[in-house]
Amino acid sequence: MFAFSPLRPAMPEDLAARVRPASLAGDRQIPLVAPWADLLPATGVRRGSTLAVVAPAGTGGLTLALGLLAGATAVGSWGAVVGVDSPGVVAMADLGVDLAHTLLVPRPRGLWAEVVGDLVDGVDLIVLRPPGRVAPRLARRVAARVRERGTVLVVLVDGGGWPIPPDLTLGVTAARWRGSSRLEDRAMTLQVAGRGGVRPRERVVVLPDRHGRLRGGPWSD
Amino acid sequence: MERLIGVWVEALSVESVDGTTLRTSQRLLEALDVLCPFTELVRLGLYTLPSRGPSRFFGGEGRVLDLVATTVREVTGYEASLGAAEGLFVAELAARAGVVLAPGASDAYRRDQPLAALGRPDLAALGRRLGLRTVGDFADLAPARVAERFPAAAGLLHRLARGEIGEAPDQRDVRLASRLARLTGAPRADEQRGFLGQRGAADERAHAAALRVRRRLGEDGVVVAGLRGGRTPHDRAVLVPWGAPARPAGADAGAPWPGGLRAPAPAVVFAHPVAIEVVDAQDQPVRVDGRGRWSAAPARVVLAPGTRRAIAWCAGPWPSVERWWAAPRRRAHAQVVLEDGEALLVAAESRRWWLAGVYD
Repeated sequence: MFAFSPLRPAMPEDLAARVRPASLAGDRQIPLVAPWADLLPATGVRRGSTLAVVAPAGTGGLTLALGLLAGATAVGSWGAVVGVDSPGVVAMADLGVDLAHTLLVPRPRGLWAEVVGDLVDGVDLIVLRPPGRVAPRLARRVAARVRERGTVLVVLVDGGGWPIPPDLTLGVTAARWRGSSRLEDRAMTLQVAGRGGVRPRERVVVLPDRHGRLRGGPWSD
Repeated sequence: MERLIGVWVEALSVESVDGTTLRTSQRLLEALDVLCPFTELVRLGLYTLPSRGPSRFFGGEGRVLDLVATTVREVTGYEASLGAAEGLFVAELAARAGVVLAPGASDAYRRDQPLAALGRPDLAALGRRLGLRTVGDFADLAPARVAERFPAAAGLLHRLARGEIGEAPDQRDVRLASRLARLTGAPRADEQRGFLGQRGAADERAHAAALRVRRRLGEDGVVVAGLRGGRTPHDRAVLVPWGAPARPAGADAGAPWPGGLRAPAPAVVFAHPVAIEVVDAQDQPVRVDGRGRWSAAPARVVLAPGTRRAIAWCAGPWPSVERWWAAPRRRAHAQVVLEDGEALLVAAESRRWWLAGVYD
C-alpha cells in the first residue's frame, strides 16, 4: 500500500496552495489557515478537543501533525511540540510553522503528562508524541485538563497509542513518494472521522509538495 | 539545586521615601535582563541570575561576574558585592560575603555559617543555650528533636539548614513585582499589549508556561528553533534552549545555500546522525567516488545490525565540498525510498554512511 511509484498522477492545478485568511471561527475555535482548515470538518479546531493523527511509522503522521501546528501558529496562536525527539526545523518552517511562537520539548522523559499540564495554560495547540504505552487513566486525565483549559491537543499516534477515543481522528491510510531526479512530493490518503455527527470521509492530499507544503484535493464521501 | 549568581547592592536594600530606590532597582533589573532574561529581583538590594546559561554564552562565570559588576556600576553608580553558589539561600550569603563558591562547596559553606544566618535571632539565642553554634550543628539535630525543642516555624528553617530546600521562607519580597509595575506604569500581565515586539498577554502566558517546563526538566528542557544559512537540513537548523541569550536567527537568514538540498526537507533530522550501512545486491558496502558516482547500485540499508531493508528507489548522490574552518569537508547526500514506502536522507562522509533524516 505504501509502495513507491515513479509515475506522477496529475494534480488538479486549481488546488495549488491557496492562501486565504481563515474564516472567523469565534472564541470556541482555534482558527487554522487554509489549506489546513480544509482538512477538518470545521474551519478550525474546537478548543478543548483532542485530535489524533494516526499513521503507521514513517508514513507522514509527523508532517501532518506539524502541519496542524503550522495552520494554528500562522494566525498568531502559540504552539508546542512535546516528545518529538529530532524535529526537522527546515521542514517545519517550510510547512509554515511560526518558529518564534513554538516551544519544543524534545525529551520530556517520563514527564510528558506533567509537561502537557504545564503547557495547557500557555499555548493554544500542543502536538504530543506519547511514549510507547499510555495508561488509560493518564490519558483521561490529560484530555480532561486540555478540555478544561481550552487548548487543542494533537496526539501523534505512530507506533505508540492513545487509549481513549479522541474527538477527531485524522488517519493516514496510504502514502506514496514520487520522484524524478530527487524526491518530489508525497501523495497521502487521509481519512477523517469524529464524534458527534462527523461523517467519516476520505481524500487525497499532497504532503509535502515540492515546496514542503500541503496541497489539498477535494473530499470524497 | 540551580547554581545562581547573587548580586547584592547594599545601597539599594533600604527603601527611600521619594521612590528613587525603587526606580533605580527597576532600571538595574532591566539592564541585567539584557545579560540574562532570567534575572530576578528577589527583594530590594538582591538580584540573582542563573549561572550556567550566561556562563556558556559569555565564556565563563568570571566573565559574567565582570559584566554584572560593570553593569551595576554604570547603571546605579554603586559597587555590587557578587557571589555564586547553589540555591538562593547560599547565593545570598555568598553575594553578601563576596565569595564565589566552587561547584559543590555550597553545602559545607552553609553548614559553617553561624546559626544567626538563618535570620531568626530567637532561634539563634535558643540554639546557643543548647550549644548549637553553626547552621551545621542545627542541621544535625534529628527532626523529632527540633519539633520538641523549637517553635513550629523552626521546622522549615531546619529543612533549609539541612539543604532540603534552597531558599529561606521570607527571602523573597513577593509584593515587590507589583509595586515596580505600578511605579513604571507597566500594564498588568493579563492586559493585552500588542504590537511591534511588545509582549502581549498571550506571549506572557506562553513564557510562563515555558518557564514551568524549564523548572521541571532543567534548562535544556524547552528549546526554540530558528533557521540559518546552510546546505543541509541539519546545517540550517538552530536549536537553542528557551531563554538562552543567543536568539535563533530570523527566518530571512534561513535561505538554503546554492547547491543545497531542496524542499521537501525531512520532518525528522537527527542532531547526531546515526551510523548506518548502505550495501549493494551482494551485500558489499557502496561508496561514492570523487566524482560523485555510486561504486555500485545501492540495494539495501542496514539500519542496525540485523535490520536490513530493501531500497526501492534512490536519488543522488549529491557530493559537496565545504571549507569547514581549515579542513575541507567532503560529503555526499542521497535520498532513498525503502520498499515499505519510508523515505530517508542518508549521507556519506569519511567512508561511512549516516542516517541524516527521515521524511516522516
